[in-house]
Amino acid sequence: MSLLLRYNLIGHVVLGLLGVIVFYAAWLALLKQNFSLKFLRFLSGAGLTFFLLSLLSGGYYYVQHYGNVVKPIIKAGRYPWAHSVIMETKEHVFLFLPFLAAVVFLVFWLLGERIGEEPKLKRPLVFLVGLIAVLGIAILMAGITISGAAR
Amino acid sequence: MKNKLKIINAFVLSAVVTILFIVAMTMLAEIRPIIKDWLKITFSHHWTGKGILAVGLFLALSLLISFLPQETKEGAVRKNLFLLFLVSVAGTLVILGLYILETFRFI
Repeated sequence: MSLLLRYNLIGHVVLGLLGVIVFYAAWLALLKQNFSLKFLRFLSGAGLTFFLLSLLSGGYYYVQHYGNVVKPIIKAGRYPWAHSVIMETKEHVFLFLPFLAAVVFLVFWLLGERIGEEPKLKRPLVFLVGLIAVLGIAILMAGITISGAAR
Repeated sequence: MKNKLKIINAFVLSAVVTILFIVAMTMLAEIRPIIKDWLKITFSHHWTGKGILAVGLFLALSLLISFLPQETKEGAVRKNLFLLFLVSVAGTLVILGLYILETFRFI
C-alpha cells in the first residue's frame, strides 16, 4: 500500500472517530435542560466537516485499494461475510451521515433559539443527533470487524 | 422566521428523499446488475455513482423545494424531522437485511 493510501485510511478512521465523538457530545449537550447553543452550533459544524472529510478519504481508499486488494483477501478468508454483509452495509449507510449531519447543522444555525424555547422541536433533534452518534459507533465497529477479517 | 422554516423544511424533506434514493439504488444495483454496471461505466465505481447522484439530488431538491410558494409551519418541520429519523432507521435495517439475505442465499 502506498503512503498516500495509508494516510487516506488513517485519515478516514481518525476523522470518522472525531465525527462520532463530536455528535455524541452534541447529543449529551442537547439532552441537558440548559444547553449552550453556541457549543451545539460549533459541534454540528465540526461533526459535518469531519464526516465529509472522512467520507472523501475513505472513499478514495475504498475505490483505489480496498476493492482490488483487501476485498479478495476477506472473501477468500474465514470470514467472507465481513465483506458481503458488514462492509457492504457500512459503505452504504455511511452515505446517510453527511445528509443527516447537514440537516442538524442547519437546524442549529437557523432555528437554534427555538430549540430552547420549544421542547416539541427539541425532541426530534434529540432522536436525530442520537441516531447519528449510534450509526457512527456502529460504522466504527464495522470498520474494526472488517480490519480484523483482512488479517 | 418563516423563510428559515421553509429552508430547513426543504433540506429535511430532501434528506428524506435522498436517503430513500440511496436505499433504492442499493437494492436495485444488487437485484438488477445492469444498474450496477451502468453506475460503474458512468462514474468509474458504483459507490461513487450512488454518492454523486445522492449529493446532486439533495442539493437540487433542496433548492427546488425552497423556492416553492408555500408556507411552512414549525409543526411540519417537527414531523419531517421525525420522518427523517424513521426513514434513516428503516433504511439502515433494509440495507443490512438485503446483504444478510444475499450473503446467506435467501434471495
